[in-house]
Amino acid sequence: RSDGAHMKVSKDVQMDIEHLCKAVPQLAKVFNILDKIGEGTFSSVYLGEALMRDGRKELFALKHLIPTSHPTRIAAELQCLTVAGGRENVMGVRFCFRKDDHVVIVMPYMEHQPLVEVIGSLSFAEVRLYIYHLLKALRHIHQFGIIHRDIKPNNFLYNRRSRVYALVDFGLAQGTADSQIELLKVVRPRALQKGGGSASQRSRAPPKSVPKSTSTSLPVAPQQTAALPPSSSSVSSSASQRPPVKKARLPTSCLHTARSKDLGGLRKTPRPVFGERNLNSCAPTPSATTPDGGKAEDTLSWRGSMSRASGRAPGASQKPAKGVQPGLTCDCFLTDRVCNVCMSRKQQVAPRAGTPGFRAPEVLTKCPDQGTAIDVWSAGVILLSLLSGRYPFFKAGDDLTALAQIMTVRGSRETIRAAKTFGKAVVCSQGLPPQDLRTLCETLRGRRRTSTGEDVPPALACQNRSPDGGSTRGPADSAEPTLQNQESWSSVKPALEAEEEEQGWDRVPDEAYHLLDRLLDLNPNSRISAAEALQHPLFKDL
Amino acid sequence: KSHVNAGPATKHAFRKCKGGRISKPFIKVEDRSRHYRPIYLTMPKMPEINVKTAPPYSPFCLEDKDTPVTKQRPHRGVKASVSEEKIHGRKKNRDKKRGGFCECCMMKYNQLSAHLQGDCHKAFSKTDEYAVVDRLASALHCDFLQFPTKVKRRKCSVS
Ligand SMILES: Nc1ncnc2c1ncn2[C@@H]1O[C@H](COP(=O)(O)OP(=O)(O)O)[C@@H](O)[C@H]1O
Ligand SMILES: [Mg+2]
Ligand SMILES: [Mg+2]
Ligand SMILES: [Zn+2]
Ligand SMILES: [Zn+2]
Repeated sequence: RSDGAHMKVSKDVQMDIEHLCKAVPQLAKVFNILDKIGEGTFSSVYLGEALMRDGRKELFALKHLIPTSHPTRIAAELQCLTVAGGRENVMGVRFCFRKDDHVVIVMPYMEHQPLVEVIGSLSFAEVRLYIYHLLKALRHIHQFGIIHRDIKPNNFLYNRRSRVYALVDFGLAQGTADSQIELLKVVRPRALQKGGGSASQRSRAPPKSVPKSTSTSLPVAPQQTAALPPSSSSVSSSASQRPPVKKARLPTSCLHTARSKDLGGLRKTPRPVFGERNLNSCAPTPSATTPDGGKAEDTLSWRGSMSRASGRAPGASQKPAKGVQPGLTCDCFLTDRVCNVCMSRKQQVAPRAGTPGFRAPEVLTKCPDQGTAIDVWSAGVILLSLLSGRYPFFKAGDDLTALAQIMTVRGSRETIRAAKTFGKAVVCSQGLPPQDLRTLCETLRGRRRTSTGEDVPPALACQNRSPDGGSTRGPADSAEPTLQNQESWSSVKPALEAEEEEQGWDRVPDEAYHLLDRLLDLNPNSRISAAEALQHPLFKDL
Repeated sequence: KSHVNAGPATKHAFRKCKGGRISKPFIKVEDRSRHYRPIYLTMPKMPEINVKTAPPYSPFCLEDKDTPVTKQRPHRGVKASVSEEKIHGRKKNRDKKRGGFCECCMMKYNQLSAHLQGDCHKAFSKTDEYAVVDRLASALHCDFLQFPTKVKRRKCSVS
């Protein structure tokens, strides 16, 4: 390669680059591909350099989507970027290459630091700006009726030095009922809403101000509106815990022809897209661990959803035990029991794409009706991380563990009460008191004594970690720190405190915790919106 | 070590749920319509915020596999850890082999490259399903040099 700047890349990366260039030969005509900068379940992102007409060299991020992505999903991601991107802290798009099933989205390259690398040294002022800019991005996409669904630090690029921010990754995005993004539009067929009983039709207040004609950069004829595959469906409580269901709803042989026909026909009229409630029990879910300790999950069941249009999900239809009527009530409701009757009902299906530790309570409990508030919750989890200096904050492999962790922070009674408002009956075998957010964050930051009266030595705690990198001290032994630790801790403590003070952590205003409380409102209907959050007193000078 | 039961999660939940008391500690969620199967989870212990964990790591680290399992295994939760091993095994395996689900073919695959080479997928890749992508892409214009055709290797000669 001609450019010396990006020296050695590993053999693997070199091979990946070669493969990519072979798959999409147009790329090599324009880009000098220098490195691989991101690798996830659904894409690989490369750094490429191109020569511009004006003679400058420019860097780009080349996102190569996994070729198993449905074209409608790819198009929806692209449309989010073209319509909403390029401003308000939302990443823009410059070009898109395709050869057959290989699609590469070209974006301006933005240098950034992974949050986990900087979280320990951020000042409070930086944290405040970070969350402000994240909220700005959210307000913007929410105005377009885009629910991002995967808000987490890895998808919010942050350049600390230049203070630039960019929201990326619309791969799991869904539209609100009145979305401006044609490809995210979902028409919910009434038929599919049956059985949704309590699934409270209460819709979230629509975006306050919807920029009416801003989305015109792409003339998309309504009749061409394609259906976005349900971008996030899975009924499994953790996708990774269950292999895709095999039951073929259609013959397993190749059916593209037949299907193309179907879709072609369907596309002529705005067709129901089974974005939410019909996501299905038959949806298998790819998932993978991402570097930030969370896995993004997503599933699709295109056909599953289509077949569902005419009735029940194939998956569901197989589940109910013989002879038991699905709709029957039983005595288990709100108790610590389950029985044959309730366990033989069909599973409820609700969107749950995203990463467990960032999922809102209404997502974790499979509320079928989800709105932009889910992204706001995720922003709240990020703020909690930033204020406590802990990332990731929640660490759970499945939805109910994540819910239990939320209860330890927000309280079990509070969670149960909120869940009731969105149609869910939650039982927790143990009462968990809500935490005072300031006390919690300051304690986790090591600025306060723990309940047992000890200091929490952040730096030293690291030394107690086991070689495998895990934290090994359980509550039992941690109550008795070794003498040695106590001594060394007390000697470094003054220095740490001075540093903390410089960073503003000694005077975090109440407004910060108040905003945190509003973002982490367990009830999506009263949770603050991104637009309202930007008006919060915490940001009054911004 | 969490035992996800019911709902979504594990197969055996369907097979062997005879109903009965859910062992503690647990969380149970049911739709208030009472039209759907409840989901519930029995945990070895309720999650706790562990302030002793090292920043910047999660205060819930104990929930993870890092914990010495022996100490905390609950009396009845033995099966749980078995199922978790399976889960982890499967996860690793999948990552290695890059197995997953193809949204185009609506099928599960075990090996990405093999699937992409397969007839079914190849046929799909040639269909006009991609028109929706092309339509959006065609609205984008870029000023890369030698785009769209033109020059071949000029990039190397530029200072
Ligand atoms: N425009 C960009 N500039 C720089 N890095 C980027 C850009 N877009 C993505 N990345 C990097 O690639 C990673 C994966 O991109 P993302 O769009 O989130 O893909 P995925 O859907 O696979 O998660 C991001 O977390 C980021 O580190
Ligand atoms: Mg991402
Ligand atoms: Mg993505
Ligand atoms: Zn019952
Ligand atoms: Zn395929």
